[in-house]
Amino acid sequence: MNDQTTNQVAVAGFDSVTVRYGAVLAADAVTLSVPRGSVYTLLGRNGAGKSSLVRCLLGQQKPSSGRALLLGNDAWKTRRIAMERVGVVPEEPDVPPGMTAAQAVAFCSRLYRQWDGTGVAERLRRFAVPTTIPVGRLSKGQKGQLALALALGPRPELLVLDDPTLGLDVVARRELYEELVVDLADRGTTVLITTHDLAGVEGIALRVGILRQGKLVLDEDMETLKARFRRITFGRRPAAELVTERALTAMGAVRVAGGEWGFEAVVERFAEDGFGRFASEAGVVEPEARAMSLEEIFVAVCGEERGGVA
Amino acid sequence: MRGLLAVAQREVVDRRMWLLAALAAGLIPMAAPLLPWVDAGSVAEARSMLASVLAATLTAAGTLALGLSMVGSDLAERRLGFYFARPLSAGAIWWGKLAASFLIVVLVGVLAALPTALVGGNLVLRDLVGLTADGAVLAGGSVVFVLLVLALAHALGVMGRSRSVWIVLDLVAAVAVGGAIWAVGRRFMLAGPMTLMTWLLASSLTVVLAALLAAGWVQVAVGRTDPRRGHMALSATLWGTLGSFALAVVGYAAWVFAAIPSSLECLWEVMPASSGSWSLVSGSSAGRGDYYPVFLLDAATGRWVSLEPTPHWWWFTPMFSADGRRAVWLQPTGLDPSDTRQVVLAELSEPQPRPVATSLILGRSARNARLSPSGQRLAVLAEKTISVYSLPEAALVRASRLDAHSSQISIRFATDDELVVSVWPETGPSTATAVDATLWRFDVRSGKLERTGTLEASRYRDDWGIPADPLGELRLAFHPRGSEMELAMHDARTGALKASLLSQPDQPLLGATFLADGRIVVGESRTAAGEPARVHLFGRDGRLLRSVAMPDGKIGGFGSEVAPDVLAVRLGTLESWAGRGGNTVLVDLEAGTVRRLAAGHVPIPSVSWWSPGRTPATPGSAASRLFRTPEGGLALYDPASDSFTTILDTRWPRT
Repeated sequence: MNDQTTNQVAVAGFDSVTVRYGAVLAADAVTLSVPRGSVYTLLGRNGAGKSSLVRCLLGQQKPSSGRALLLGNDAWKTRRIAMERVGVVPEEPDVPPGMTAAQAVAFCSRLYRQWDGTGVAERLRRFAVPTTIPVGRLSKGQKGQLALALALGPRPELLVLDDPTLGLDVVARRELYEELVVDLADRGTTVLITTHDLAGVEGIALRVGILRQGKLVLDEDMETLKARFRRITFGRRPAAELVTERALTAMGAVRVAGGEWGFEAVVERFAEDGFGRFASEAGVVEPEARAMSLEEIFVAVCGEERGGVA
Repeated sequence: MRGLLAVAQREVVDRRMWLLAALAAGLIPMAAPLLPWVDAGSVAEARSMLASVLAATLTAAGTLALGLSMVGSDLAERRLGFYFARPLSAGAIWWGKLAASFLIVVLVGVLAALPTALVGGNLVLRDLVGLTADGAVLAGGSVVFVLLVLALAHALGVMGRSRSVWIVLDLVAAVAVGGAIWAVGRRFMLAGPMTLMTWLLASSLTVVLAALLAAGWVQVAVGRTDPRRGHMALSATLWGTLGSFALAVVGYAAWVFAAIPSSLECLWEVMPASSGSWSLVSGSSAGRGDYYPVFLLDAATGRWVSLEPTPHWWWFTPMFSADGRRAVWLQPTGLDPSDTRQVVLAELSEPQPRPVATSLILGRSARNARLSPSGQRLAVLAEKTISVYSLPEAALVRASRLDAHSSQISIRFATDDELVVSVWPETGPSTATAVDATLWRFDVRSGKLERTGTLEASRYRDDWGIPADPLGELRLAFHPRGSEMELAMHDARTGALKASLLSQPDQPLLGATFLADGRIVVGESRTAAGEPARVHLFGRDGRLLRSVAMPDGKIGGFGSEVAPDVLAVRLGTLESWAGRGGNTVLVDLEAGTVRRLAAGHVPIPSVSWWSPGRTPATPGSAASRLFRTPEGGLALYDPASDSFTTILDTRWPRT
C-alpha cells in the first residue's frame, strides 16, 4: 500500500498484516483501508482477530508481518505523533481507577496540542458522569462514556472504538451512538469501530469488514453489501430440484434450508433480473426476496458453512 | 518532557497514600514517652531510634512495592493502554513513572523522619551521615540503591506477571551471569587487587543499574501493552547487556590472570634465591591495575612459574631452599586473609617447574613460616606452638608449645634439625622499643624446646634488615647506646656478646651483612665529623680485616658478591621504596679497590625486610649478579665482560 496514496484517501488501514501468538494465527495477511470520513465497522466472531488488529493500528502491538497504517504512516513507528489526532475508546475502560473523571480530563488535556475542554465537560454533563469520584467506582456505562469523552477531547481525525458497547445497557449504547452521530455530523470524523452490536452500528456504518478466523472475508460499502444479500423463500414442485439448485448457485447461495413449509435461501449475489429468471423457472412456487439486516448478513457469512439444497 | 512530567505528576497523585502513611508513621515516635519501657531520660533516644527504624522500614517497603507495581500493575490489569492511547512516548511513560516512584520513596523517608527531626531528634541516619567523611557519597549511594531496587523490583514484577516460560530463561541467565561475575570477583578477591576490585564492583553496579533501567524502558517501548512481549524485550535487553558485560569481565579477568613475566611493566620486587638463578619477581602490568603478577623467574634460562597472588602475600612470600632448587609458599584457601593456607611448592630443578599443592593445610593462626636450608622442612609458628613439617611426606615431624608470656616470637632454622627462637616481651603497639629478647632452641629430632640465653636489647627484631649467618652461629644486632648506635656480634644460640664491631651516631645508620663465607661487612656512611663513607670487613671473631673508603658520602645498601670477594655496594639514597636511585661500585674486599659500574645500575639487595633470615647469595651465582637497570629493568651482570644482559625490560614504578 502506498503511504502517499493512503494519506490522501485512507486515514487508517492494514497492509498484509499478520498477527501470530505462537502457533495461533490471529490475523492472516489482512489488507484493508478506512477512507477518510467513513464509518468503518469491523465485524467478526470472538477470537476472529479484531482486537489484535486494533492494537496493531494503535501502535500498541507490532504485527508479526505487514504494516498497520495510521494517518498514512506505520503505526508502530509513529504512534506517539499519530495519537495527537486519534481518539480511542478501548474494549475495557482503562482509565486508572484511582483517578476521578476531572483528573483524567486534566491529565489528558496536558498531552494534546488542542483540547476541547468545553466539549468534554459538556459531554460528561450530558452523560451525567460524576467527575469527583474515582473512576473505579463508576458504572461500566459511565466509564465507557468517560472514555468516549476523553477520546473526542482532542478533536481527533480518527476515532477508534474497540467494542465500545460491550457490557453496556440499551440506554448507554444508544447514548454512545447518538454522541457518535453528533460528532460525525459536526466534524466528519473518520471512525473505525469493532463491535458485536450489529443492530446498533447498522445505522451509522458506511463500510463493513468481516473477519473470519483471522482472514478478511468481506470488505465493502454497507450499501452495496445490503443490496447484494437477500433472503429468498419459495416453494418447489417435486421435479424442479435440479433447476432450483442451479439457479440459486448462480445467485451465490450461502445457505439453503427446506422443510414442509417450503425453502429458504440466503444469496450473496442478488440481482433483480436474476431473481426474475429464478421466479419464472418451472417448478418454483411463490418466490419472495427480502432485504437482510447486517446481523443476518453477518450470521450468513460467519455462521454455518454453505449448505446444499435440501 | 511535558508528557514525562504529566505522567510523573499523575503517578505521585495516584500514590499519595504512601506519603500520608509516612507522615502518620512519622508521628508515632512522638508517643515514645508513653511506652512503658522508656524512662524519662531516654525519651529522645527512643524517639530517634523509633523514627529511624520506621523511616528505613517504610522507605524499603515503598521502594519494593512501588517498583513492583509502577508499570507491572497497569500491565497486568490492562490499563497501560490508557497511556499508549495518548501522544506519550514510551520514554515519558517509563521515566515518568520511575521518577515519580523515586520521588515518593525519598519523600516517604523524609516525611517519616521529619516530625522527630523537627523536635530535635538525633536520627541514626543523620549519625551515619556524620560518620561518613563525605555525606555526598552516602547520598549518592542511597540514590543508586533506591533506583537499583526500584528497577529490579519492576523487572521481577514484569517477569512474574507475564507467566511466560521466559522466566525459566531468566533464572538460567541470572545464575549464569551471577555465577560468572561471582567467579571473577572471587578470583580477584583472592588475588587482592583492591583498585581493580573496586572498579569491578563499581562497574558491575553501574552496568546492572543501567541494564535494569534500560530494560525497563525497552520493555515499555517494545512490549507496550503486551505483558509477554514486554517480558521478552526486558529479558533480552537485561540479559543481553549483563551477559555481554559478564563475558567482557570474564575475558578481561582471563587476560589479567594470563600475565607472563614479559607482561610486567614496572618491576616492584625482586627476591633472588641464595643460590642458583631463580628469583621471585613481581610488579605491575599495563592494563591490569593494581593486580601484581608474581613469578618465579630463572634468570639463566628465562623459565618461569606463575604464582597466585594473594592479599598480604608478602607475609607468606615464597621461600627458597639454600641451594635454590626448591621454592615453597603458602596459598590462602579462602577469601579471608585469616583463612587456612595450603603449602605449595615448586621443584625448580625440574625442566618445567610448576606449582604443586601439598596436602599440608595450615590453620588460620599459622604465621611466621620458615623453610629449612635443605628445603625439606617447614617450620610454622601458630600462637605459641612451633610445628615442623616434612615436605616430602607432608606430615608433622615435631611440635612444641613455647612457654613464654609474649606472642612476639620469631623462628629461624639454624640447620634442618635446629630452630632458633627469639621472644620479645610485649611492648604495646610499637616494636621499635629496644628490649631484651629471650632465645630458645628447638631440637627437631628430640622435640626438646629449651631456653638458651638472652639477647641484649636491640634496635631491630627478628633480624630485620640483616641476613642470617650462613653458618648459623652468629647474630648481628644494633644496640642503642645513648645517642650512639653500636653494632655487635652475638652467639646466635645464647645471645652472648662476642664482639662489638662498630659504634656510630644514630644518624646516619650503619648497614651490615654477612658474606657467603660467614665474614661480616659493615657500611659506615659519612660521619658527623665529615669522615668519608667506608666499608669494613670483619672476621668471624670480630677482628677488623679491612676498611675501604667509598667515593660518595652515603652507602645506600649492599648487593651480593658478584664474584668471590667482589661486593656490589650501592651509593646514595633511595628515591623510592622499590629501590630506584644511586649508583653502584664493586668493592674488591681482597685488594681493597673500588670500581664504579655504569651509572644508574643498582644491585638487588642481599636482604629485604620481607625476607628476614635470608642467607647471602653464593658469590658469582646468577642470584648474586642481579641488577636493576637505570630504566628499572632487570639485568644480569657479567663481571668478566663488565656488561649487563637485560632479563626483563621493565621500568621503575612511578613515585
